[in-house]
Amino acid sequence: MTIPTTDTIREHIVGYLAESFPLFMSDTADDTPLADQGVDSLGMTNIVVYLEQQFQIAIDDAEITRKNLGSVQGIVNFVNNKLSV
Amino acid sequence: MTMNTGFNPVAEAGRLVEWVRTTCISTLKREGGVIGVSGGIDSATVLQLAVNALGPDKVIVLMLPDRDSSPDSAVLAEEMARKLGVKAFVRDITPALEGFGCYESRDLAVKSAVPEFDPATDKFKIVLPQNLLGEASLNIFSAVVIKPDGRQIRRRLSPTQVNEIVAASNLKQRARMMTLYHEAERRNYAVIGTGNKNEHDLGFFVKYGDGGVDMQPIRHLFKTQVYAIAREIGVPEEIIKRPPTTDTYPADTTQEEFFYRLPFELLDGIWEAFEKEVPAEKIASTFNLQVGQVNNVIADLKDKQRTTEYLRLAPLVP
Repeated sequence: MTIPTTDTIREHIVGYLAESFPLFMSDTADDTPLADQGVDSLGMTNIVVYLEQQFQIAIDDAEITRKNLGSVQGIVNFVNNKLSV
Repeated sequence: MTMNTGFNPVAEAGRLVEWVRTTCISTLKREGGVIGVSGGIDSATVLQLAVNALGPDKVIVLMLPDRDSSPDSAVLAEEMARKLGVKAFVRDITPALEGFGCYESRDLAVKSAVPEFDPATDKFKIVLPQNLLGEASLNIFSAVVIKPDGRQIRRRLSPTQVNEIVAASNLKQRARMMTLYHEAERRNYAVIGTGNKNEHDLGFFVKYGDGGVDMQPIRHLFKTQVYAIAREIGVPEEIIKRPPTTDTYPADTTQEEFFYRLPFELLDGIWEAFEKEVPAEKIASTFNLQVGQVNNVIADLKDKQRTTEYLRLAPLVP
């Protein structure tokens, strides 16, 4: 599988969030907490499922942290790191 | 370790007794109060306050177990009601819940997450990641199935599974609310709620379930303040020492593992200091924590408050 670029990863993630969470604004700064944009615990579970399927990665419970998944910037970095391992 | 908050449990207990009396009789114009008592600290404290306010002959205790309830709950509740001289009745809500399809839909959802789950022999509980002071983990629910030999199987739940399990489990609190109101209305009594600040502000209650009551005497109190009042007004020691549980799922589940993720002493201390705008550095040094750990706790509190706001809203109108 070809590893997507950081920009492609970001594009997928922002597209998914914009489609799934009505309060998510794609023009907000990437380090804005997703909790401030209508993502609750169930929403976060959906994001985990989406990332696992979209990028063919496995996410352990211990990796579901504010740093890794709490913002667009965090998710992009996290997925990037996962794919480059 | 604690911050000096100036909370005076004796004075507050006295104020609440007066408040219960005035609110029940003058404001609500009801002749007495009905309380659902579980054997836990909150309902025991409210019961004692209500008896002090209204007298034992004007308070009715209902114990509303279902098939998942711990037998200890009823024993402790019954013992306290007997000591206080109030009338107490047990209404098993299991048949009503079976009629609503509560257990069936809940067990199907658990089985879809953990195919090894056998409702006839296994127990289960729902938990959040623990150790809120460590890495700032987000709130993702998992099911833990406990086999008869003690083996535990833990699986992350999908949103659909969480919704199914929570919706089915909430039927319990709503069945209890219906039963409490039936008893209250036939006597012209008020339903007195037992929710505290932790439950109310963080959304750890069921809208129109345990949140469906006429008055809430301890809703403004942190759990640790409820304990302080309980000690002052003579709530039995067995109840004070008992770990708070959800009494909702078949396996024993503490409120800490199900929802709060921290011991109450620490959670309440940090929360109260945060509300009083004490800087994170000062909170950290008081509780012997890192600033990052304090910030994790505060972020979790804010998340829970924000995402459960709709529970605290009255029905919206145009």
